[in-house]
Amino acid sequence: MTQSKFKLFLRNNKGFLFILPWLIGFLVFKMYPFFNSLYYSFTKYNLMKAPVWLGLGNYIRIFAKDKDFVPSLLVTLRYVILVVPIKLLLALLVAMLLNRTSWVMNFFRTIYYLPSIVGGSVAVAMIWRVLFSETGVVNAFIGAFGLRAQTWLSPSLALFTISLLNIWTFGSTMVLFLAALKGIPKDLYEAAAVDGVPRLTVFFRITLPMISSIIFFNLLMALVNAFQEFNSALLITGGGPLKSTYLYGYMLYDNAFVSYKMGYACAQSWILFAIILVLTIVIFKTSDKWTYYDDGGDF
Amino acid sequence: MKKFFSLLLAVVMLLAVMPAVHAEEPVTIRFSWWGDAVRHEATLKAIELFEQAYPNIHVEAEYGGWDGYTDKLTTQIMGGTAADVVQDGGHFQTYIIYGAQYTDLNDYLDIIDTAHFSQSLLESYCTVNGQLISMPTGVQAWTTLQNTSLLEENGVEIPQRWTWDALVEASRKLHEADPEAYMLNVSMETMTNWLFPMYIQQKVGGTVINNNYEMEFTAEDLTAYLTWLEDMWAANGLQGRSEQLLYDGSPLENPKWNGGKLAISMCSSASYSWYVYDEYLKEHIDVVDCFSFPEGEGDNDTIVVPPASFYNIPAASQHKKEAATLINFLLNDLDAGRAQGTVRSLPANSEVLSVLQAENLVDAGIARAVELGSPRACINRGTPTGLNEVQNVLADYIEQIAYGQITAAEAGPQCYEDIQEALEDVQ
Repeated sequence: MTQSKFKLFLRNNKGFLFILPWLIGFLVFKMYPFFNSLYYSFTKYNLMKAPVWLGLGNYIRIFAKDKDFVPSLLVTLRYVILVVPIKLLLALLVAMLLNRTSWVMNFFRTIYYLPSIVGGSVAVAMIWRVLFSETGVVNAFIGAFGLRAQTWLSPSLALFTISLLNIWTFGSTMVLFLAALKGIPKDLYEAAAVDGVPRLTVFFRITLPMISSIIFFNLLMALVNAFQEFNSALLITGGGPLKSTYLYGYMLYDNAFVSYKMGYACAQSWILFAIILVLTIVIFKTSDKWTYYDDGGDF
Repeated sequence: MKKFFSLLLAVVMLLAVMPAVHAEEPVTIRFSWWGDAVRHEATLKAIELFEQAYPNIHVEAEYGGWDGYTDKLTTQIMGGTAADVVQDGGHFQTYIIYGAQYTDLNDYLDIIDTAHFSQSLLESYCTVNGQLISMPTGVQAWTTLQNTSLLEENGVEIPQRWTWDALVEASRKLHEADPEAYMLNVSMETMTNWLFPMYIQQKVGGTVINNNYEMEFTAEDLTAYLTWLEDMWAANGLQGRSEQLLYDGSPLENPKWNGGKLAISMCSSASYSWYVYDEYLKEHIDVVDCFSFPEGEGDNDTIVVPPASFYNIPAASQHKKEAATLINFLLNDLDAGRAQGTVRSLPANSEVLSVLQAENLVDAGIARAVELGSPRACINRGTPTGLNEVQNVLADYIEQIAYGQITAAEAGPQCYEDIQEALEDVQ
């Protein structure tokens, strides 16, 4: 390439130069492990010995022989069904309550956003364990209302308890809803008020459709996040009791770092990827029917 | 000519000086260990002494608590990023099965002096396939810590040595007298990795799962152990599993322990100070003989006495010589021995131990535990006994028994088969 052609190339592709640092990081730290794990999923590999090619051996074993695969998937689905709707509903409800102009609202917005910063970190997970112990604060609190103390980490309640940790971090979802609510043109509400439209109808016919694009985004993010949950299962319950919190993410960790089956865990992670991909495609394909974009939704 | 000889002289002088320069080149090595604050302080003091003795070697200390240490170490060993000197609880034997590589310390016996160490200890616990993989940091015994006053206050008769069945009876009496009190403070790891092998070796003798992956016990033996656990839960000798779960990583943190509601905790003698850490515990806890079958029942009354922990050098280390120098200093130097005291149980080096005894630096509790335990030392239980696959199977069934999902009689044969399958899978 002559010098002038090279200069022309650079001039026409300046944007890539600006994003080059990110691009290199993306390729090295995301794409390389991504495709590497695909290769390892077809091998027997424990990081300490060279990988041995197995072909589809890992995948066949997962579907035909692994006693934990389906139960773990079901536990994860239960977790997703518990977390995603509650988190979105709570975030929307709080956003609507905070959608007022007042200095007090700023304070509450900060308070509700804080949990999503500390999030499901290790420290918070350890505190969660203590809070929900039989002699913990939660039982003391409900006891003050005359309710019986619960065994929050029993097989029947443990999944709910760790779900609360994810739901508690609804702040970032709430902030997005709040931004969307503030973006709804006020004249729509004024017109509805003039026509005497009931408030519930206003909510379902104006508010929800106008924020549907943000609902779509939050739903997708919450779904992907919930399917990959791992911290709470590891730190609070260890996947128990009786594998009632044996989430898919925890099962991956167990196989990779406790049983030294890295190749097998890579195969399981690709199955999870496939599941999330299918769900994402379904949501995208159906979104045309229920999401509204001011600008028509074109990129 | 003059210039030639000047140049030659300069080269010769440079060559003469270079080895010395090379020898003094500063080196940084990493040393990782787990422990409590007392052990950290003592070890840091020993490192300080080492750096004074070897100014060209700087030691980067990487330390923390026990909870999570093994997970971190596993990842580091698998990824080849472990420290140059690693304190290991015996897991290296399992890692070797999976292909991990360690430095053969036989190649560094000019640096590490083994003259004051028991050769049988080195052969039983530190040598794998003829290679000296690690050095023992201390001699220890599985220790039974008893809150005698809790039992006496509740009218529980205390035998000279607990038997497995007597514990069940005592559990019932204790919990009836005080519904908030329980007999044993144990984690799942204690039940699968310590009590289970101890029970089997006392009942049957020999190893548990030998190095050929053969179980040296029957399904009936396993069922007997699971039945004992079932009886303990039925007698309220153990807390509910949902409460135990909270302290699985660290039973000493159970508030009932220093709250005087748990009668017995069990630990390695090296962890004595972790479990007896406040004024209440120091006043109320006694070291007693570990449980066994009554005389005439079972073949042995043995207990586990592997070294408290080990120091080894992963093969990926770039500074093996310096790492060996640190290990030698920590285990053989008398000042280092004084600084560390008995934070890793009684020193495995007999000379250092004599000095500590002469200078009254030996913790009485630890000394008592080793005194009680050493005569009852069992043989090595067999490396595959500690495999995660085996431990996970046991944990699954024990948990099902704890929640009443299955009886011990049903669990025993199924668990035995699943362990068999897990062992075949690993090979």
